[in-house]
Amino acid sequence: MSLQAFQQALTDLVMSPALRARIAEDPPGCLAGYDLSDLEVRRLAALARDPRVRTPTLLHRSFRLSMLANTLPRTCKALGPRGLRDLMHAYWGEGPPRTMQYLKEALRFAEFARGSLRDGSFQNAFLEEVLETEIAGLTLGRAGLTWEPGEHRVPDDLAFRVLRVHPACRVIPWRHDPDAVLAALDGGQPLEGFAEGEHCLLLAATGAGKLTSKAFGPLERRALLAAGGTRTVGDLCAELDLPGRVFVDLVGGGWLVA
Amino acid sequence: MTSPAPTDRLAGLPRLGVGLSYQGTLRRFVLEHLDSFDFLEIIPDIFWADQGRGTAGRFRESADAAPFLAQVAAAKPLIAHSVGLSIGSGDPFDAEHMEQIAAWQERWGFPWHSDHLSFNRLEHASGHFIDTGVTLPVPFDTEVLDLLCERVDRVQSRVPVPFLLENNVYYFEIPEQEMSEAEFLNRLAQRTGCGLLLDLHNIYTNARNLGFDPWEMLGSLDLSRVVEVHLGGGMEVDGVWLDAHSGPCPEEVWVMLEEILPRAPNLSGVVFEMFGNYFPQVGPEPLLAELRRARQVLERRAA
Repeated sequence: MSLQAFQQALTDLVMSPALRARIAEDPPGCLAGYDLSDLEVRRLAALARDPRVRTPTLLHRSFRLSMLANTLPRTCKALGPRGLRDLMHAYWGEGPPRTMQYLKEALRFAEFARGSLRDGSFQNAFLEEVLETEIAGLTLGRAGLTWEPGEHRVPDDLAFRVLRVHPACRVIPWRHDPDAVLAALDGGQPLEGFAEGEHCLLLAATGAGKLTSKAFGPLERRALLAAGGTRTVGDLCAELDLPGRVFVDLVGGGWLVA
Repeated sequence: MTSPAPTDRLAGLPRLGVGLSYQGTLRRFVLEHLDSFDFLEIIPDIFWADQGRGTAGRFRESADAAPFLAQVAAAKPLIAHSVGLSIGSGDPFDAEHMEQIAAWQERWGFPWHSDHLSFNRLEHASGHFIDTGVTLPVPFDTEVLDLLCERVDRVQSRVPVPFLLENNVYYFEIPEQEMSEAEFLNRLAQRTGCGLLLDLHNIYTNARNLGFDPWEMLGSLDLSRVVEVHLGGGMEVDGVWLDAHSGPCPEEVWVMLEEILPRAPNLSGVVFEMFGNYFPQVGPEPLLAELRRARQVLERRAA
Protein backbone atom coordinates (compact mmCIF):
# COMPACT_ATOMS: atom_id res chain seq x y z
CA MET A 1 0.00 0.00 0.00
CA SER A 2 1.55 3.25 -1.05
CA LEU A 3 0.81 6.55 -2.63
CA GLN A 4 3.06 5.46 -5.48
CA ALA A 5 0.95 2.38 -6.26
CA PHE A 6 -2.24 4.43 -6.07
CA GLN A 7 -0.84 7.01 -8.45
CA GLN A 8 0.35 4.33 -10.87
CA ALA A 9 -3.13 2.86 -10.94
CA LEU A 10 -4.76 6.29 -11.22
CA THR A 11 -2.47 7.23 -14.08
CA ASP A 12 -3.20 3.99 -15.91
CA LEU A 13 -6.90 4.53 -15.37
CA VAL A 14 -6.72 8.07 -16.76
CA MET A 15 -4.63 7.08 -19.77
CA SER A 16 -6.64 4.01 -20.76
CA PRO A 17 -10.42 4.03 -21.22
CA ALA A 18 -10.23 0.29 -21.85
CA LEU A 19 -8.64 -0.31 -18.46
CA ARG A 20 -11.20 2.00 -16.91
CA ALA A 21 -14.00 -0.13 -18.30
CA ARG A 22 -12.39 -3.30 -17.01
CA ILE A 23 -11.89 -1.83 -13.53
CA ALA A 24 -15.51 -0.70 -13.46
CA GLU A 25 -16.55 -4.30 -14.15
CA ASP A 26 -14.20 -6.01 -11.73
CA PRO A 27 -12.31 -3.62 -9.42
CA PRO A 28 -10.56 -6.16 -7.16
CA GLY A 29 -9.55 -8.36 -10.08
CA CYS A 30 -8.24 -5.58 -12.30
CA LEU A 31 -6.46 -3.77 -9.49
CA ALA A 32 -4.88 -6.87 -7.98
CA GLY A 33 -1.56 -6.06 -9.63
CA TYR A 34 -1.23 -2.84 -7.66
CA ASP A 35 -0.37 -2.83 -3.97
CA LEU A 36 -3.45 -0.92 -2.78
CA SER A 37 -5.38 -0.46 0.46
CA ASP A 38 -9.12 -1.09 0.61
CA LEU A 39 -9.70 2.66 0.56
CA GLU A 40 -7.56 3.06 -2.54
CA VAL A 41 -9.42 0.24 -4.30
CA ARG A 42 -12.74 1.90 -3.41
CA ARG A 43 -11.47 5.23 -4.71
CA LEU A 44 -10.26 3.80 -7.99
CA ALA A 45 -13.41 1.74 -8.48
CA ALA A 46 -15.49 4.88 -8.06
CA LEU A 47 -13.29 6.83 -10.45
CA ALA A 48 -13.52 4.05 -13.04
CA ARG A 49 -17.27 4.68 -13.10
CA ASP A 50 -16.94 8.46 -13.02
CA PRO A 51 -17.57 9.93 -16.51
CA ARG A 52 -15.65 13.05 -15.52
CA VAL A 53 -12.39 11.08 -15.76
CA ARG A 54 -12.87 11.21 -19.53
CA THR A 55 -11.71 14.82 -19.54
CA PRO A 56 -8.17 14.22 -18.27
CA THR A 57 -8.02 11.28 -20.68
CA LEU A 58 -8.86 13.66 -23.50
CA LEU A 59 -6.32 16.19 -22.26
CA HIS A 60 -3.64 13.54 -21.89
CA ARG A 61 -4.24 12.31 -25.42
CA SER A 62 -4.40 15.82 -26.80
CA PHE A 63 -1.08 16.57 -25.15
CA ARG A 64 0.44 13.42 -26.59
CA LEU A 65 -0.97 14.05 -30.02
CA SER A 66 0.14 17.67 -29.94
CA MET A 67 3.74 16.57 -29.43
CA LEU A 68 3.55 14.68 -32.74
CA ALA A 69 1.45 17.27 -34.53
CA ASN A 70 4.15 19.83 -33.72
CA THR A 71 7.13 17.69 -34.68
CA LEU A 72 5.67 15.56 -37.50
CA PRO A 73 2.88 17.67 -39.05
CA ARG A 74 3.22 16.26 -42.56
CA THR A 75 3.29 12.70 -41.23
CA CYS A 76 0.05 13.36 -39.39
CA LYS A 77 -1.48 14.75 -42.58
CA ALA A 78 -0.22 11.84 -44.67
CA LEU A 79 -1.87 9.42 -42.28
CA GLY A 80 -5.24 11.11 -42.69
CA PRO A 81 -7.83 11.20 -39.88
CA ARG A 82 -8.58 7.48 -39.88
CA GLY A 83 -4.98 6.36 -40.27
CA LEU A 84 -3.88 8.78 -37.59
CA ARG A 85 -6.53 7.48 -35.21
CA ASP A 86 -5.70 3.82 -35.87
CA LEU A 87 -1.94 4.21 -35.62
CA MET A 88 -2.16 6.45 -32.53
CA HIS A 89 -4.41 4.00 -30.74
CA ALA A 90 -1.96 1.22 -31.46
CA TYR A 91 0.96 3.41 -30.38
CA TRP A 92 -0.70 4.59 -27.20
CA GLY A 93 -1.53 0.99 -26.39
CA GLU A 94 2.17 0.20 -26.45
CA GLY A 95 2.88 2.29 -23.39
CA PRO A 96 2.62 5.67 -21.74
CA PRO A 97 4.68 8.71 -22.70
CA ARG A 98 8.10 8.73 -21.12
CA THR A 99 9.00 12.27 -21.83
CA MET A 100 7.71 15.75 -22.51
CA GLN A 101 10.53 16.18 -25.01
CA TYR A 102 8.93 16.47 -28.39
CA LEU A 103 11.93 15.12 -30.29
CA LYS A 104 12.22 12.00 -28.15
CA GLU A 105 8.50 11.32 -28.45
CA ALA A 106 8.74 11.79 -32.24
CA LEU A 107 11.65 9.34 -32.46
CA ARG A 108 9.81 6.81 -30.34
CA PHE A 109 6.71 7.13 -32.49
CA ALA A 110 8.81 6.81 -35.64
CA GLU A 111 10.28 3.56 -34.36
CA PHE A 112 6.79 2.26 -33.66
CA ALA A 113 5.50 3.32 -37.07
CA ARG A 114 8.45 1.68 -38.85
CA GLY A 115 7.77 -1.54 -36.99
CA SER A 116 4.08 -1.40 -37.88
CA LEU A 117 4.91 -0.93 -41.57
CA ARG A 118 7.50 -3.71 -41.46
CA ASP A 119 5.24 -6.30 -39.89
CA GLY A 120 2.30 -5.27 -42.04
CA SER A 121 0.03 -4.34 -39.13
CA PHE A 122 -0.35 -0.90 -40.67
CA GLN A 123 -0.31 0.13 -44.30
CA ASN A 124 0.07 3.54 -45.88
CA ALA A 125 1.86 4.10 -49.18
CA PHE A 126 3.26 7.50 -48.19
CA LEU A 127 3.96 7.11 -44.49
CA GLU A 128 7.52 5.83 -44.67
CA GLU A 129 8.88 8.50 -47.00
CA VAL A 130 7.10 11.40 -45.31
CA LEU A 131 7.98 10.18 -41.83
CA GLU A 132 11.65 9.56 -42.67
CA THR A 133 11.88 13.00 -44.23
CA GLU A 134 10.50 14.70 -41.12
CA ILE A 135 12.63 12.63 -38.75
CA ALA A 136 15.73 13.41 -40.82
CA GLY A 137 14.82 17.08 -40.69
CA LEU A 138 14.35 17.03 -36.91
CA THR A 139 17.69 15.39 -36.23
CA LEU A 140 19.62 17.22 -38.93
CA GLY A 141 18.39 20.60 -37.77
CA ARG A 142 19.82 19.95 -34.32
CA ALA A 143 23.13 18.46 -35.45
CA GLY A 144 24.88 21.83 -35.66
CA LEU A 145 26.35 21.13 -39.11
CA THR A 146 26.07 23.47 -42.06
CA TRP A 147 25.95 22.87 -45.78
CA GLU A 148 27.03 25.73 -48.03
CA PRO A 149 25.10 26.16 -51.27
CA GLY A 150 26.84 27.28 -54.45
CA GLU A 151 29.27 25.97 -57.03
CA HIS A 152 31.78 23.50 -55.62
CA ARG A 153 35.02 22.47 -57.27
CA VAL A 154 34.98 19.06 -58.90
CA PRO A 155 38.32 17.23 -58.58
CA ASP A 156 40.05 16.31 -61.82
CA ASP A 157 40.51 12.74 -60.62
CA LEU A 158 36.86 12.30 -59.61
CA ALA A 159 36.67 8.83 -61.15
CA PHE A 160 39.21 7.61 -58.58
CA ARG A 161 37.61 9.27 -55.59
CA VAL A 162 35.41 7.66 -52.94
CA LEU A 163 32.50 9.98 -52.21
CA ARG A 164 30.12 10.40 -49.34
CA VAL A 165 27.04 12.52 -48.75
CA HIS A 166 27.91 15.87 -47.17
CA PRO A 167 27.63 15.40 -43.37
CA ALA A 168 25.09 18.23 -43.17
CA CYS A 169 22.84 16.46 -45.72
CA ARG A 170 20.49 13.49 -45.53
CA VAL A 171 19.12 11.47 -48.42
CA ILE A 172 15.66 9.97 -48.09
CA PRO A 173 14.48 7.50 -50.73
CA TRP A 174 10.99 8.19 -52.07
CA ARG A 175 8.66 6.06 -54.14
CA HIS A 176 6.72 9.10 -55.31
CA ASP A 177 7.66 12.55 -56.53
CA PRO A 178 8.54 14.26 -53.22
CA ASP A 179 7.83 17.80 -54.39
CA ALA A 180 4.37 16.87 -55.62
CA VAL A 181 3.48 14.86 -52.51
CA LEU A 182 4.72 17.50 -50.08
CA ALA A 183 2.93 20.23 -51.99
CA ALA A 184 -0.29 18.22 -51.80
CA LEU A 185 0.16 17.70 -48.05
CA ASP A 186 0.89 21.36 -47.43
CA GLY A 187 -2.07 22.37 -49.57
CA GLY A 188 -4.43 20.00 -47.79
CA GLN A 189 -4.97 17.98 -50.96
CA PRO A 190 -5.65 14.22 -50.90
CA LEU A 191 -2.73 11.94 -51.71
CA GLU A 192 -4.19 10.41 -54.84
CA GLY A 193 -2.95 9.76 -58.33
CA PHE A 194 0.77 9.73 -57.63
CA ALA A 195 2.66 7.28 -59.80
CA GLU A 196 5.39 5.20 -58.22
CA GLY A 197 8.95 5.69 -59.32
CA GLU A 198 12.55 6.11 -58.21
CA HIS A 199 12.92 9.42 -56.41
CA CYS A 200 14.76 10.82 -53.46
CA LEU A 201 14.77 13.94 -51.39
CA LEU A 202 17.97 15.51 -50.13
CA LEU A 203 17.77 17.64 -47.00
CA ALA A 204 20.58 20.04 -46.19
CA ALA A 205 21.15 22.02 -42.99
CA THR A 206 21.91 25.63 -43.82
CA GLY A 207 22.57 26.83 -40.28
CA ALA A 208 20.58 28.10 -37.30
CA GLY A 209 18.29 25.08 -37.47
CA LYS A 210 17.18 25.88 -41.02
CA LEU A 211 16.89 23.31 -43.78
CA THR A 212 16.65 23.31 -47.51
CA SER A 213 15.54 20.41 -49.69
CA LYS A 214 16.04 19.23 -53.24
CA ALA A 215 14.30 16.41 -55.05
CA PHE A 216 16.24 14.15 -57.40
CA GLY A 217 15.29 11.56 -59.99
CA PRO A 218 16.36 7.95 -60.50
CA LEU A 219 19.98 8.47 -61.58
CA GLU A 220 20.88 10.85 -58.78
CA ARG A 221 19.02 8.67 -56.30
CA ARG A 222 21.16 5.68 -57.22
CA ALA A 223 24.33 7.73 -56.96
CA LEU A 224 23.42 9.34 -53.64
CA LEU A 225 22.35 6.07 -52.04
CA ALA A 226 25.45 4.25 -53.26
CA ALA A 227 27.87 6.88 -51.95
CA GLY A 228 29.49 6.36 -48.59
CA GLY A 229 30.98 2.95 -49.22
CA THR A 230 34.48 2.07 -50.35
CA ARG A 231 33.91 2.07 -54.09
CA THR A 232 35.26 4.80 -56.30
CA VAL A 233 33.14 6.89 -58.61
CA GLY A 234 34.49 4.92 -61.55
CA ASP A 235 33.45 1.63 -59.98
CA LEU A 236 30.00 2.95 -59.13
CA CYS A 237 29.44 4.25 -62.66
CA ALA A 238 30.25 0.80 -64.00
CA GLU A 239 28.26 -1.16 -61.44
CA LEU A 240 25.18 1.04 -61.47
CA ASP A 241 25.35 1.92 -65.15
CA LEU A 242 25.48 5.60 -64.30
CA PRO A 243 26.93 8.35 -66.49
CA GLY A 244 29.83 10.18 -64.86
CA ARG A 245 28.08 13.53 -65.22
CA VAL A 246 25.65 12.52 -62.45
CA PHE A 247 28.53 12.49 -59.95
CA VAL A 248 30.01 15.64 -61.45
CA ASP A 249 26.71 17.46 -60.87
CA LEU A 250 26.29 16.12 -57.33
CA VAL A 251 29.83 17.07 -56.36
CA GLY A 252 29.50 20.42 -58.08
CA GLY A 253 26.33 21.08 -56.08
CA GLY A 254 28.15 20.26 -52.86
CA TRP A 255 25.88 17.33 -51.97
CA LEU A 256 28.58 14.69 -52.43
CA VAL A 257 32.05 15.27 -51.05
CA ALA A 258 35.30 13.39 -51.32
CA MET B 1 8.64 18.02 11.87
CA THR B 2 8.19 21.36 10.13
CA SER B 3 8.39 24.87 11.39
CA PRO B 4 6.74 27.89 9.86
CA ALA B 5 8.97 30.32 8.08
CA PRO B 6 9.02 33.85 9.52
CA THR B 7 5.65 35.41 8.88
CA ASP B 8 7.20 38.51 7.39
CA ARG B 9 8.92 36.49 4.68
CA LEU B 10 5.97 36.82 2.34
CA ALA B 11 5.18 40.34 3.49
CA GLY B 12 8.67 41.46 2.53
CA LEU B 13 8.35 40.43 -1.08
CA PRO B 14 8.40 43.14 -3.73
CA ARG B 15 4.98 44.10 -5.06
CA LEU B 16 5.70 43.37 -8.69
CA GLY B 17 2.29 44.10 -10.17
CA VAL B 18 1.03 42.50 -13.38
CA GLY B 19 2.86 39.57 -14.89
CA LEU B 20 2.66 37.72 -18.17
CA SER B 21 3.10 33.97 -18.38
CA TYR B 22 5.67 33.28 -21.09
CA GLN B 23 5.18 30.83 -23.94
CA GLY B 24 7.47 30.34 -26.93
CA THR B 25 5.05 31.93 -29.38
CA LEU B 26 4.94 35.06 -27.21
CA ARG B 27 8.63 35.85 -27.69
CA ARG B 28 8.06 38.67 -30.15
CA PHE B 29 5.10 39.99 -28.17
CA VAL B 30 7.22 40.08 -25.01
CA LEU B 31 10.00 42.03 -26.64
CA GLU B 32 7.66 44.43 -28.43
CA HIS B 33 5.34 45.03 -25.46
CA LEU B 34 7.66 45.18 -22.48
CA ASP B 35 5.61 48.05 -21.08
CA SER B 36 2.44 46.00 -20.96
CA PHE B 37 3.58 43.91 -17.98
CA ASP B 38 5.68 44.40 -14.86
CA PHE B 39 7.33 41.00 -14.73
CA LEU B 40 7.60 37.88 -16.83
CA GLU B 41 6.73 34.50 -15.41
CA ILE B 42 8.65 31.74 -17.11
CA ILE B 43 8.27 27.98 -17.04
CA PRO B 44 11.96 27.11 -16.64
CA ASP B 45 11.36 23.59 -17.90
CA ILE B 46 10.63 24.83 -21.43
CA PHE B 47 14.13 26.29 -21.65
CA TRP B 48 15.89 22.97 -21.19
CA ALA B 49 15.59 19.38 -22.35
CA ASP B 50 15.31 17.05 -19.37
CA GLN B 51 17.30 13.90 -20.13
CA GLY B 52 15.79 12.04 -17.18
CA ARG B 53 16.67 11.34 -13.59
CA GLY B 54 20.23 10.28 -12.88
CA THR B 55 21.50 11.33 -16.31
CA ALA B 56 24.78 13.24 -16.39
CA GLY B 57 24.11 16.76 -17.62
CA ARG B 58 20.42 16.04 -17.18
CA PHE B 59 19.09 19.52 -17.95
CA ARG B 60 20.36 20.53 -21.40
CA GLU B 61 19.66 24.19 -21.84
CA SER B 62 18.48 25.34 -25.24
CA ALA B 63 20.97 27.57 -27.00
CA ASP B 64 18.68 30.58 -27.24
CA ALA B 65 17.48 30.49 -23.62
CA ALA B 66 20.17 32.61 -22.02
CA PRO B 67 20.24 35.44 -24.60
CA PHE B 68 16.47 35.83 -24.51
CA LEU B 69 16.16 35.66 -20.73
CA ALA B 70 19.07 38.07 -20.27
CA GLN B 71 17.40 40.52 -22.63
CA VAL B 72 14.13 40.41 -20.69
CA ALA B 73 15.81 40.33 -17.28
CA ALA B 74 17.60 43.57 -18.12
CA ALA B 75 14.20 45.24 -18.27
CA LYS B 76 11.84 43.22 -16.05
CA PRO B 77 12.00 40.80 -13.11
CA LEU B 78 11.66 37.11 -13.94
CA ILE B 79 9.64 34.64 -11.87
CA ALA B 80 9.88 30.85 -12.17
CA HIS B 81 6.74 28.73 -12.33
CA SER B 82 7.90 25.18 -12.84
CA VAL B 83 6.07 22.12 -14.11
CA GLY B 84 8.86 19.64 -13.50
CA LEU B 85 9.09 18.96 -9.78
CA SER B 86 5.93 16.82 -9.62
CA ILE B 87 6.03 17.43 -5.90
CA GLY B 88 2.94 15.33 -5.20
CA SER B 89 4.37 12.22 -6.80
CA GLY B 90 4.68 9.14 -4.63
CA ASP B 91 8.09 8.51 -6.20
CA PRO B 92 11.25 9.63 -4.42
CA PHE B 93 11.67 13.40 -4.33
CA ASP B 94 13.36 14.81 -7.41
CA ALA B 95 16.31 16.56 -5.74
CA GLU B 96 18.03 17.06 -9.10
CA HIS B 97 15.17 19.21 -10.32
CA MET B 98 15.26 21.21 -7.10
CA GLU B 99 18.99 21.79 -7.60
CA GLN B 100 18.36 22.99 -11.13
CA ILE B 101 15.74 25.46 -9.89
CA ALA B 102 18.16 26.62 -7.18
CA ALA B 103 20.84 27.22 -9.82
CA TRP B 104 18.41 29.19 -11.99
CA GLN B 105 17.17 31.19 -9.03
CA GLU B 106 20.73 32.22 -8.29
CA ARG B 107 21.35 33.00 -11.95
CA TRP B 108 18.17 34.93 -12.73
CA GLY B 109 17.30 36.30 -9.31
CA PHE B 110 13.68 35.11 -9.06
CA PRO B 111 12.12 36.89 -6.01
CA TRP B 112 9.99 33.76 -5.52
CA HIS B 113 9.31 30.54 -7.40
CA SER B 114 6.43 28.11 -7.65
CA ASP B 115 5.23 24.72 -8.82
CA HIS B 116 1.97 22.78 -8.96
CA LEU B 117 0.26 20.93 -6.12
CA SER B 118 -0.21 17.78 -8.13
CA PHE B 119 1.74 15.02 -9.81
CA ASN B 120 2.49 14.38 -13.46
CA ARG B 121 5.71 12.36 -13.36
CA LEU B 122 6.16 8.95 -11.83
CA GLU B 123 7.84 5.64 -12.34
CA HIS B 124 5.41 3.50 -14.27
CA ALA B 125 4.86 -0.19 -13.67
CA SER B 126 6.68 -0.71 -17.00
CA GLY B 127 9.85 0.50 -15.27
CA HIS B 128 10.03 3.76 -17.21
CA PHE B 129 9.56 7.22 -15.83
CA ILE B 130 6.54 8.68 -17.53
CA ASP B 131 5.02 12.11 -17.87
CA THR B 132 1.27 12.29 -18.21
CA GLY B 133 1.36 15.84 -19.56
CA VAL B 134 -1.60 16.53 -17.28
CA THR B 135 -1.32 17.61 -13.64
CA LEU B 136 -3.26 14.97 -11.72
CA PRO B 137 -4.69 15.58 -8.24
CA VAL B 138 -3.30 14.17 -5.02
CA PRO B 139 -5.68 12.96 -2.30
CA PHE B 140 -6.26 15.62 0.34
CA ASP B 141 -5.21 13.22 3.10
CA THR B 142 -2.91 13.57 6.10
CA GLU B 143 -0.42 11.10 4.62
CA VAL B 144 -0.05 13.26 1.50
CA LEU B 145 0.08 16.44 3.57
CA ASP B 146 2.96 15.01 5.61
CA LEU B 147 4.81 14.05 2.44
CA LEU B 148 4.31 17.48 0.90
CA CYS B 149 5.36 19.33 4.05
CA GLU B 150 8.61 17.41 4.14
CA ARG B 151 9.28 18.21 0.48
CA VAL B 152 8.33 21.86 0.75
CA ASP B 153 10.75 22.12 3.67
CA ARG B 154 13.49 20.65 1.50
CA VAL B 155 12.81 23.12 -1.27
CA GLN B 156 12.69 26.05 1.13
CA SER B 157 15.94 24.95 2.77
CA ARG B 158 17.70 24.84 -0.57
CA VAL B 159 16.23 27.72 -2.59
CA PRO B 160 16.62 30.96 -0.66
CA VAL B 161 13.39 32.67 -1.80
CA PRO B 162 9.76 31.89 -0.96
CA PHE B 163 8.24 28.84 -2.59
CA LEU B 164 4.59 28.83 -3.66
CA LEU B 165 2.34 25.95 -4.57
CA GLU B 166 -0.51 26.37 -7.01
CA ASN B 167 -3.97 24.96 -6.40
CA ASN B 168 -4.59 22.41 -9.13
CA VAL B 169 -7.25 22.18 -11.78
CA TYR B 170 -8.90 18.78 -11.60
CA TYR B 171 -11.79 17.38 -13.54
CA PHE B 172 -12.73 14.66 -11.06
CA GLU B 173 -12.63 14.42 -7.29
CA ILE B 174 -10.90 11.60 -5.49
CA PRO B 175 -13.58 10.06 -3.25
CA GLU B 176 -13.43 9.85 0.55
CA GLN B 177 -10.76 12.52 1.04
CA GLU B 178 -9.90 13.39 4.64
CA MET B 179 -10.13 17.13 4.19
CA SER B 180 -11.30 19.80 1.79
CA GLU B 181 -8.93 21.46 -0.64
CA ALA B 182 -9.03 24.71 1.33
CA GLU B 183 -8.22 22.94 4.59
CA PHE B 184 -5.41 21.05 2.90
CA LEU B 185 -3.89 24.24 1.45
CA ASN B 186 -4.26 26.10 4.75
CA ARG B 187 -2.55 23.34 6.70
CA LEU B 188 0.23 23.04 4.14
CA ALA B 189 0.94 26.76 4.24
CA GLN B 190 0.65 26.93 8.02
CA ARG B 191 3.00 24.03 8.64
CA THR B 192 5.66 24.95 6.13
CA GLY B 193 5.36 28.71 5.81
CA CYS B 194 5.12 28.34 2.05
CA GLY B 195 3.11 30.74 -0.03
CA LEU B 196 0.14 30.02 -2.27
CA LEU B 197 -0.22 30.67 -5.94
CA LEU B 198 -3.95 31.05 -6.20
CA ASP B 199 -5.14 30.15 -9.68
CA LEU B 200 -8.59 31.68 -9.78
CA HIS B 201 -9.42 30.17 -13.14
CA ASN B 202 -8.62 26.73 -11.72
CA ILE B 203 -11.10 27.35 -8.89
CA TYR B 204 -13.67 28.62 -11.38
CA THR B 205 -13.15 25.56 -13.59
CA ASN B 206 -13.29 23.07 -10.73
CA ALA B 207 -16.37 24.69 -9.25
CA ARG B 208 -18.17 24.87 -12.58
CA ASN B 209 -17.43 21.26 -13.51
CA LEU B 210 -17.79 19.66 -10.10
CA GLY B 211 -20.67 21.76 -8.87
CA PHE B 212 -19.29 23.36 -5.74
CA ASP B 213 -19.46 26.95 -4.56
CA PRO B 214 -16.19 28.75 -5.36
CA TRP B 215 -17.03 31.49 -2.87
CA GLU B 216 -17.27 28.97 -0.08
CA MET B 217 -13.82 27.67 -0.95
CA LEU B 218 -12.38 31.18 -1.19
CA GLY B 219 -14.04 32.02 2.12
CA SER B 220 -12.31 29.07 3.78
CA LEU B 221 -8.85 29.81 2.40
CA ASP B 222 -6.24 31.71 4.38
CA LEU B 223 -5.59 34.34 1.73
CA SER B 224 -2.76 35.90 3.72
CA ARG B 225 -0.58 33.15 2.23
CA VAL B 226 -1.38 34.17 -1.34
CA VAL B 227 1.63 35.74 -3.05
CA GLU B 228 0.55 35.35 -6.64
CA VAL B 229 -2.71 35.00 -8.55
CA HIS B 230 -3.17 33.34 -11.91
CA LEU B 231 -5.83 34.50 -14.32
CA GLY B 232 -6.74 32.82 -17.56
CA GLY B 233 -9.51 31.86 -19.90
CA GLY B 234 -11.04 28.61 -20.99
CA MET B 235 -13.64 27.04 -23.20
CA GLU B 236 -16.53 24.64 -22.95
CA VAL B 237 -16.24 21.32 -24.77
CA ASP B 238 -19.03 18.74 -24.50
CA GLY B 239 -20.38 20.40 -21.39
CA VAL B 240 -17.02 20.53 -19.62
CA TRP B 241 -15.25 23.81 -18.97
CA LEU B 242 -11.58 23.38 -19.86
CA ASP B 243 -8.75 25.29 -18.26
CA ALA B 244 -7.52 25.86 -21.78
CA HIS B 245 -5.84 29.26 -21.33
CA SER B 246 -7.38 30.01 -24.66
CA GLY B 247 -8.51 33.59 -24.36
CA PRO B 248 -10.03 36.25 -22.14
CA CYS B 249 -10.74 35.63 -18.49
CA PRO B 250 -14.41 34.94 -17.59
CA GLU B 251 -16.14 37.80 -15.79
CA GLU B 252 -16.68 35.64 -12.72
CA VAL B 253 -12.91 35.28 -12.34
CA TRP B 254 -12.43 39.05 -12.48
CA VAL B 255 -15.04 39.37 -9.75
CA MET B 256 -13.13 36.79 -7.69
CA LEU B 257 -9.96 38.82 -8.08
CA GLU B 258 -11.66 42.03 -6.95
CA GLU B 259 -13.19 40.28 -3.98
CA ILE B 260 -10.08 38.55 -2.66
CA LEU B 261 -7.79 41.58 -2.84
CA PRO B 262 -8.73 43.05 0.55
CA ARG B 263 -8.04 39.67 2.18
CA ALA B 264 -4.73 39.04 0.40
CA PRO B 265 -2.26 41.50 1.97
CA ASN B 266 0.80 39.68 0.65
CA LEU B 267 -0.32 39.50 -2.95
CA SER B 268 2.71 40.51 -4.98
CA GLY B 269 1.79 39.62 -8.52
CA VAL B 270 -1.17 38.88 -10.79
CA VAL B 271 -0.25 36.83 -13.84
CA PHE B 272 -2.28 36.33 -17.00
CA GLU B 273 -1.82 32.98 -18.71
CA MET B 274 -2.44 32.16 -22.37
CA PHE B 275 -1.19 29.00 -24.05
CA GLY B 276 1.12 29.70 -26.92
CA ASN B 277 -0.88 27.80 -29.52
CA TYR B 278 -3.85 30.15 -29.06
CA PHE B 279 -1.87 33.35 -29.35
CA PRO B 280 -1.51 33.27 -33.16
CA GLN B 281 -5.31 32.95 -33.43
CA VAL B 282 -6.16 35.48 -30.74
CA GLY B 283 -3.47 38.04 -31.53
CA PRO B 284 -1.88 40.69 -29.32
CA GLU B 285 -4.83 43.02 -28.69
CA PRO B 286 -6.95 40.75 -26.45
CA LEU B 287 -3.82 39.85 -24.49
CA LEU B 288 -2.96 43.52 -24.02
CA ALA B 289 -6.54 44.19 -22.93
CA GLU B 290 -6.37 41.50 -20.23
CA LEU B 291 -3.07 42.85 -18.95
CA ARG B 292 -4.51 46.40 -18.87
CA ARG B 293 -7.56 45.22 -16.98
CA ALA B 294 -5.45 43.39 -14.41
CA ARG B 295 -3.42 46.56 -13.92
CA GLN B 296 -6.57 48.62 -13.43
CA VAL B 297 -7.80 46.22 -10.75
CA LEU B 298 -4.49 46.43 -8.90
CA GLU B 299 -4.40 50.21 -9.21
CA ARG B 300 -7.89 50.46 -7.70
CA ARG B 301 -6.67 48.33 -4.82
CA ALA B 302 -3.67 50.56 -4.28
CA ALA B 303 -5.87 53.65 -4.32
